[in-house]
Amino acid sequence: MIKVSLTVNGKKHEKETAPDTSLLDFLRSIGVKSVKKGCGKGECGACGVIMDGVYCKSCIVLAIQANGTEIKTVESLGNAQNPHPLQTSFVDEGAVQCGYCIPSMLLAAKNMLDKNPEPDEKEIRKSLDGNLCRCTGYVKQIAAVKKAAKIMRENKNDQ
Amino acid sequence: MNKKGLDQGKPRPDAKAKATGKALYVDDIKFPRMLHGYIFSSPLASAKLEKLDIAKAKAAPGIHTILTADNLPGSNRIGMIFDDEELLVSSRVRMSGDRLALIAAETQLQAKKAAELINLKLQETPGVYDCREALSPSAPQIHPEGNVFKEFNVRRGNLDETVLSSDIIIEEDYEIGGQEHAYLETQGTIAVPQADDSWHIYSTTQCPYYIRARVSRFLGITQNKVRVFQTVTGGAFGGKEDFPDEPALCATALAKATGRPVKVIYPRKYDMQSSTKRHSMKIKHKLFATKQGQIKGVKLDIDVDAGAYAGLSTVVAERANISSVGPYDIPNIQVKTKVIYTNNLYGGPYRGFGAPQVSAVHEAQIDKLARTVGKDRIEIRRINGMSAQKRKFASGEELAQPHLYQELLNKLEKISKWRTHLQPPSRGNLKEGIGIGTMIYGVNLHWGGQRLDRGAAYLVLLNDGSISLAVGVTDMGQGANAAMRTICAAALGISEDLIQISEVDTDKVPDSGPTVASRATMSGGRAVIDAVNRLKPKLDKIAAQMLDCEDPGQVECKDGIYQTKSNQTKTVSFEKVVEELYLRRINPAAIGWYRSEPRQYDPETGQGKAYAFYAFGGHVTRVQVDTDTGRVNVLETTAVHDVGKIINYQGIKGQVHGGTVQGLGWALMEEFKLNKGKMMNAGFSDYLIPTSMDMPEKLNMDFIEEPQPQGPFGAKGIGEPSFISVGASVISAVSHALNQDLKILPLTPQNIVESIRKND
Repeated sequence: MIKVSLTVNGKKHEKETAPDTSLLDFLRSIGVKSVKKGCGKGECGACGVIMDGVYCKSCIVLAIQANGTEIKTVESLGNAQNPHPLQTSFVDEGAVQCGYCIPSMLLAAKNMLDKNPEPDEKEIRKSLDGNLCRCTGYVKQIAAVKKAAKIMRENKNDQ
Repeated sequence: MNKKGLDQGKPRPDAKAKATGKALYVDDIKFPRMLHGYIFSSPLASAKLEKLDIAKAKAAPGIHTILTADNLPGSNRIGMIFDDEELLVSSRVRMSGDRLALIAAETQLQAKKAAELINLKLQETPGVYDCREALSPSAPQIHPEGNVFKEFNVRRGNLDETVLSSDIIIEEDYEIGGQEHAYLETQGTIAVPQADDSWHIYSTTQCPYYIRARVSRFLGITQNKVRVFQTVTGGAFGGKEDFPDEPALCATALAKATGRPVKVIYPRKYDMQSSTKRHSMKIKHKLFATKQGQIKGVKLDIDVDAGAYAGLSTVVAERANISSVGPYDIPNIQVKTKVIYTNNLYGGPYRGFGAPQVSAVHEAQIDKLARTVGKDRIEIRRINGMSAQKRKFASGEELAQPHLYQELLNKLEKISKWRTHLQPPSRGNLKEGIGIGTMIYGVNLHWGGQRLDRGAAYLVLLNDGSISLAVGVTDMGQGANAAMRTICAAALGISEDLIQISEVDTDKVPDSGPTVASRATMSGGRAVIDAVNRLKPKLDKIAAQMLDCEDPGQVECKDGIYQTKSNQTKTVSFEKVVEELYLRRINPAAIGWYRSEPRQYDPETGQGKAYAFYAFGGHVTRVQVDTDTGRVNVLETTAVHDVGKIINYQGIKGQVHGGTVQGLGWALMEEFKLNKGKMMNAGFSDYLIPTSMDMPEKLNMDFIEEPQPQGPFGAKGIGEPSFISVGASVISAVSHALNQDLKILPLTPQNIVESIRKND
């Protein structure tokens, strides 16, 4: 067993775990359930988190590799009372069906928008390419990212 | 958003929880003292079990129990329609992924490590992996009943000499591939034994009532001892119809043996390697027509690869059988559908339920007829398709709305700008093409399943005017709960915000049959309306009294406000009326019920009334094919659906987008690599499903809204129709681009390059 300590959405966590535990399993074991397991092999994209500012698939990162890092999950974006523009747009545009891919997809989109606040459609598609969705055909998700980007730009201009 | 449905333009009720990470799927739920189950399974598809020694594994750390066929605390023989399966193999392995032992441990990892200590010896036996080879008398017999375990027929008219000597005869043999559901959330269950010997089962499922029935049968207890909670379900597409019963039985067996809650979650690889699939089919189609392109008769032989167990294959085949003629009124029909055991992964329900495979074939054949007689592909469909004059489905029944097929063709032609794309540009190795696929879908269950064609809703008016609604049809991600909320609000004349609805709890609502066959809106919706109809007269009567109106028939509730039709100045709120209902101590709850009209049908001839009613749908797809690499780039799709009435506009668009893209995956990318029945590409790196980069740039859609009186507010169903004709439109488009007749799906680059080579 090894000790892993990391910060999740600003809160510190420390726990003993087997050395081969993935970051995904570690996060879920400390109660972070919004990070989903879809394949365990880095193929489906349901387990994305932002680790020290970098979007990554937590199922192919070892918990020990994340030792000392700062992890952000969908909860860092917002909540039902105070949602992030991405969350609002996904809800309003009908981009959510079964929902299993959504928390991670929101983080992928957020990660892209942080670097590129005014993406064109191709760039949006590319940013979601690693997040499989079987329900929506991606149409509404792309529209939602586009809409959120606009809102975020406007919010920034207002400041 | 533009409001174009019955809905009030609000986001679906579950969206916010899902977008904030709060929705709890089955793997997110845990119970005190819960153990983790693991399935130890066969790597071979056809073998004799010679040795299964669990002694070492049992002694491994954290292990609570290991079950085999010898110590299973329940009935080992299982099955949906035929009891041809064992929960744990006793002697003969018939399918790769067959369960050999179940392990319960403190952690998943401990269970997995213990499985490595099981001493297994399998003797491989000859198997059969092709449904036509399985027809040979010398083929290995998978079950004692023989490999062909069910046949279906359609016999209408007579394929006599006048038909057989037609000027035009088109005979082809098609090979249509299967498909993996690839729901993002894998299969999973938690079984929780209760202090009073009853059971709580938590499952990701479309059909909680199936689980209740099968768990009770497995344990030998009555159904009231089993309560199934559907958890937020991460996609299903048919893959969570019957199959979730199996993880539920595994978890129940382990929980029964240990007396503790047990969770079983399928790892992706095992999920893909053992769960049901869309059936692959081999279909011979012979079409007889006049020189003018009038179809006189068709003869089909449909061979359905059911895999190693029957599951629901017969029911899927029943739909393929009767749908195989398509939306054409053809006087002489002979269809024979064989459902065949092999040692492949077993087939099951998947969006379209056998209709997409036959749609691909009847559409490819009519395209070829168009080319043979020199007519446009839409024109040939106008000539042969259903219309006000041509009203008969393959079953011989006259349809109520056959004219909508002609409207469908008109819309597809216009929206896709069909005529402008008929002579597409060709730049070297890049060839463009446009194609069309159409279909007819019997909404709801076939005659053979009509006993299950029912629905229930439980509606309670609370004394603050809010509503608690429970419906027996499930939301598996498709948005059924949003539709139920909309229907309830519209029937009561109130805001959707007043209605609370969540996943199914089998103790709340009577068995509503399975949520399949695009029947959720119809059967759930009708049950909701029935529940409202039982309460509304009470409310209207009270409202009339509060409005000093003598005739309750003169009051109406709109946007939560009651008023009389004649005097609209006086009003009383819905909430106040409900409050008064409580003060008068009037029963505020109702169970709504729906059942379809009983139908007559002759299974020997396939003649009679097959379905409650029908919907048409079609796709036009434009592609660009690279003849060097075989890669197909989809440029644009156009979908038109006859939906009766749109309930939830955002929801219906989501279904059409999702169905189209899933259909493109089936038609172009998704291919099983089977080696002696074992799926070799079980994972998303090798089994490719569409990503955001694969979808076409433009997805057009339109709807035909002519109400169907049996549906709630006239609505039909959209879940499956949205998928069915996509494959047909892709074959049509690629055939057009390459100027050759393609007879295979999926049209992977390899299959296209091979077809081009063969044609040269």
